[in-house]
Amino acid sequence: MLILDPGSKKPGGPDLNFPIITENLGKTIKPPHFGPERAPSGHHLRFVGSAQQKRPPWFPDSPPSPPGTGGRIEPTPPSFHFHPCLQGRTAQAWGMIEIRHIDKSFAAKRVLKGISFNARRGEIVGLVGRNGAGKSTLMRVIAGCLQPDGGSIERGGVDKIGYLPEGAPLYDELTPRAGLEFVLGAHGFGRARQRQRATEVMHLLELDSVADQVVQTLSKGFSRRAALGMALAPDPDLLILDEPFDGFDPIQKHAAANLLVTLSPQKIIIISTHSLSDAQRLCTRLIVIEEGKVCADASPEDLLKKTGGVTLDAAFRALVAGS
Amino acid sequence: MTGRFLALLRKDFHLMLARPAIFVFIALFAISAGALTFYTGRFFDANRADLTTLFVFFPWLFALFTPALAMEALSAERRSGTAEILHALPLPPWTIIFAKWLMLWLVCLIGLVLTMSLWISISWLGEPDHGAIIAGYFGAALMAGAMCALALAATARTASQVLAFLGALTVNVLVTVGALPVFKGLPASLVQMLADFSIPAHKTHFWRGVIAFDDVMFFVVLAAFGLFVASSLWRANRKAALRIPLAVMAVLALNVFFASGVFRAARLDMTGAQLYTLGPAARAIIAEKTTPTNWTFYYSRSLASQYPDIRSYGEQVEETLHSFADASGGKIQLTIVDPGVDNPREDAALGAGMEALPTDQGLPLYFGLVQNTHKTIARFDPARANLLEHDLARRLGVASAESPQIALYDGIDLAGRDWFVSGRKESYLFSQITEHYTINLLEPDFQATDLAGRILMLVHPPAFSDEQDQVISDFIAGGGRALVFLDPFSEVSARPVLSGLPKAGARMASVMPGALAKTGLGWTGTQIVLDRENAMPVQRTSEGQTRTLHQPAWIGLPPSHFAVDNPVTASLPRGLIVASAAALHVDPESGWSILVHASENSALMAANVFATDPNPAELMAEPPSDNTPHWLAAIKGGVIVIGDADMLDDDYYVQGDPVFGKHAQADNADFVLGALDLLAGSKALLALRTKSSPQRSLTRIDAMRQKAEQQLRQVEQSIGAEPDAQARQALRLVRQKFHRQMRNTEIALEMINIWLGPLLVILFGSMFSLWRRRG
Repeated sequence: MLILDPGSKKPGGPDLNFPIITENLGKTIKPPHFGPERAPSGHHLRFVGSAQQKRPPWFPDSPPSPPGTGGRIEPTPPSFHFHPCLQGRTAQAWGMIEIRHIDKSFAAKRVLKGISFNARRGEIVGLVGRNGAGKSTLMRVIAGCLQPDGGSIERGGVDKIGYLPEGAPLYDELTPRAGLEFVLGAHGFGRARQRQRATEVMHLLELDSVADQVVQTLSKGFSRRAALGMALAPDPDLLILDEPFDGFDPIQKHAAANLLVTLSPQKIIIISTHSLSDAQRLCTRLIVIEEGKVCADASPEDLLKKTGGVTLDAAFRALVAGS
Repeated sequence: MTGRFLALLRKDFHLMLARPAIFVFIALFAISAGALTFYTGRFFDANRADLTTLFVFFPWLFALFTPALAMEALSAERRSGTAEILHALPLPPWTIIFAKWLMLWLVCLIGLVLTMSLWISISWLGEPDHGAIIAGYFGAALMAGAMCALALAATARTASQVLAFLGALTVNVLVTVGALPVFKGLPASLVQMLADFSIPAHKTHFWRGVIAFDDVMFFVVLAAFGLFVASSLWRANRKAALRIPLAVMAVLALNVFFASGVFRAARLDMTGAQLYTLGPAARAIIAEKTTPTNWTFYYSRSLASQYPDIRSYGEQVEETLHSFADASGGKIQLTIVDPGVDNPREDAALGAGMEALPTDQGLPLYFGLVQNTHKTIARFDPARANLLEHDLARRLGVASAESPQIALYDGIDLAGRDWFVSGRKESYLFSQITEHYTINLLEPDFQATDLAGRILMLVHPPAFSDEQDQVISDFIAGGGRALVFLDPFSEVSARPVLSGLPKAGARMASVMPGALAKTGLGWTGTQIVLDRENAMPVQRTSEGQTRTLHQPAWIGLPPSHFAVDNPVTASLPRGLIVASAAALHVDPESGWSILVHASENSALMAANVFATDPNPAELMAEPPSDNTPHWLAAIKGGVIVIGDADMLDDDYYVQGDPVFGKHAQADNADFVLGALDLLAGSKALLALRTKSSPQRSLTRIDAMRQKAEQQLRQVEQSIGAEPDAQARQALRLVRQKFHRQMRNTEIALEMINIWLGPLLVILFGSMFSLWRRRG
């Protein structure tokens, strides 16, 4: 459970370096510096690689690209090697989600074609792809909004799901506080906890000043933060964010990304974004989706390495062109 | 789950309050209900202290308003994308739908509550049956719930408001119209099923004040069905959607099951007088019956389903017949037959004497009862709905051996024996009496044996011979029962016959039998009573001008002029109309009791002067009132005497009806039948008659009207027959004052009931919205 101390806010905008106190640990944790030049060591919370470092030894790394593919990463179904004591229990208590051969069609159009991948606690998985590739549909399926036509989704150690749909919809007639309390109530929080947690989340997202203002009177930035708050509020184990930075100014985007990184060790985070630079800075893994299929599944570094691209944009173009 | 559901409810409640359209909706609903009641339902003209005029509009109001309300509930979630948030929350779809439905229902209930100002109004205007109104509102609430659920089901799959509205409207209208002629071409059994699966088939019990289990279940099942379909469609879940056809079949099957009569006895009669529950009197009559009886109820059910009034009454008749059969312990065997058209069943119905009601489709609608092999009620008349139990019990008594007999001296040809001379056939009263009693017409030379064991009914008696007088005297002295109608001036006898001349040998005045005089009773045999307070309005043409005047010799007696402690007159809500009646006077010690009296603003005038057709306006003024409430009917033991015979003639209280033949406008016939029941010793039947609660009127409006008419008559009385300009002005002023007073009352009530509540809602909604925005 996170209790966030506002710390010293700057009047002009969010303080990117606000301290975070974890309730369980009871000590102040400095958030990591967010960006390519981040230093993964020296912090209690770890980012890229931290989840891998925490993995049990029988949990494999992402599969390497097969030889002879010319650097292009072929979509491969995930393969797991469970510890013998856990054989037969596909999703484990440490927190993971396993998506297997998901199919989804709308009328005659097949949008998802046997998509499979997995994600583990501590990972920030970025779904990237062209418009209409099936990212949002996949996220809706994972979030439970859509029933897949085929395939399965197994969740282990995932009790709560936080979902920010595309466009960050909100109840325009409600206040951010009421919206948060509703989501919390729907997740089984009691009234007192709803109020407390809503206050915490609003504080975290700097919505205090507009907490009791109806959403339709808020600026886009506040609305987006309120929507993000609804996804974060129940402290979900699985956080699914469809274009979460859409509508944020660079400072807000930075703060939000910073927050996600801070939260990531305790969560599985799946993000879809069109901004490959955001994805590169934020995600531990990128899954490229093209025409309803997984086109690539690797860390940003591996993607660059394997496509020989200088930038992720170039790598992405190469992957999409290849597929 | 409770906490999660409460969170949903809270969210939907906040959303509801946040939408100004909700306040507009509630206001529009209340305005429409009030306006329809007052203008389309003609509330004041209907003059009924009940809310039937309001309730009948509820199905259509809900059919129209619930789609308007529901079109936003789910489609807005889809349109704004918040449906995705809901889908991702750990909430079963049914909870989301149920919460939405509860909110919609709550809005409808608020709309219903706003219409309750009318309840308060009629409680001020009269004495309504509160139990019946509670049942009506209960039914309306259930109906609203069912329609909200159906509307949600119709809107669950679309993000378009327009499509949502149209879909919901279509579904609700289909359920509301039920078996209107749109289904005419379908097979009868299907029409029947559709008719059962419709709101018209289930609303009328509530409106009457009866909460029937099958009706409640119909609306509950309909609501559950709507919620199930909405839940299935809300998530794009194909498996759930596939269950919808099964749900449709289940609902139809459940409806057939509930309509099958298994739960017929499970009903709650909320009416104050337990109008629709078989009372102890009826049970006593049934218990007395020893011989088996076969009742065949001929009812063109399929055809009747297209006529809501007939259908509604048909259900009531069927239920009451079942109640009789159930209470008889097998002595009454009930068979229900739909005669159809051109088949042996129809032949049997016609053979048993059934009379078909004409329909606009040209098909005969049979709606009558055959007892054993002969018709008992050729066609049930909805106007006698309140007396149904009494009528059936009476028919049951007729079949028994102790069926009373009447010896009738018919001085004004009630039987229509001289129809070829007078052009008038059997009167309404005569036909009513013959349905219940065996009538033996007395010839002028009747003997004592003609009266033995019978009820003597003398109508406009002549001067009997001394022997006959003695026979009557002995009959009465021997405990015989008699009903006597004396008339000092029989306007019926004075009426021209087909030839245009008065009937040959017509007697203008009755002669009181000497036997009655010996009992201490006297009458004004040469004088008639003028009652200026209860004078009937008449049209009179003089010098080319037609004026409405009050004729004090024609008296419309309200129930306040009857003895309330006597069962004969205890329940005559429409009053009696008498014409040129005599006043009765009795010796104080003679034991006669009053049954009917005139008002204190009465006078006596010579009958032979009245025979010259004086101007009614003159009679309003002269002779002056003697401030005596003259007796018009009296009773002593088994003898009842009435000072008028004209009251028995159709011209004074019966109007023609294109479907049911004749309709009584006053209770003259019921008074006579009640008197005969009393004399026949049928106390149980009398109890049934007094039990029957008629339509209640707006007594305050009646009182205002009476007061104004009284003032009008006083002015007429003071100005005489030939009013001058000043007098006419005075009359006009009284009329204008009355109309202004009535109009002011109407306007005040219309303002309160149509506009006040909705305006308060709009005001509250506006202030609330403003406060929220500022907050």
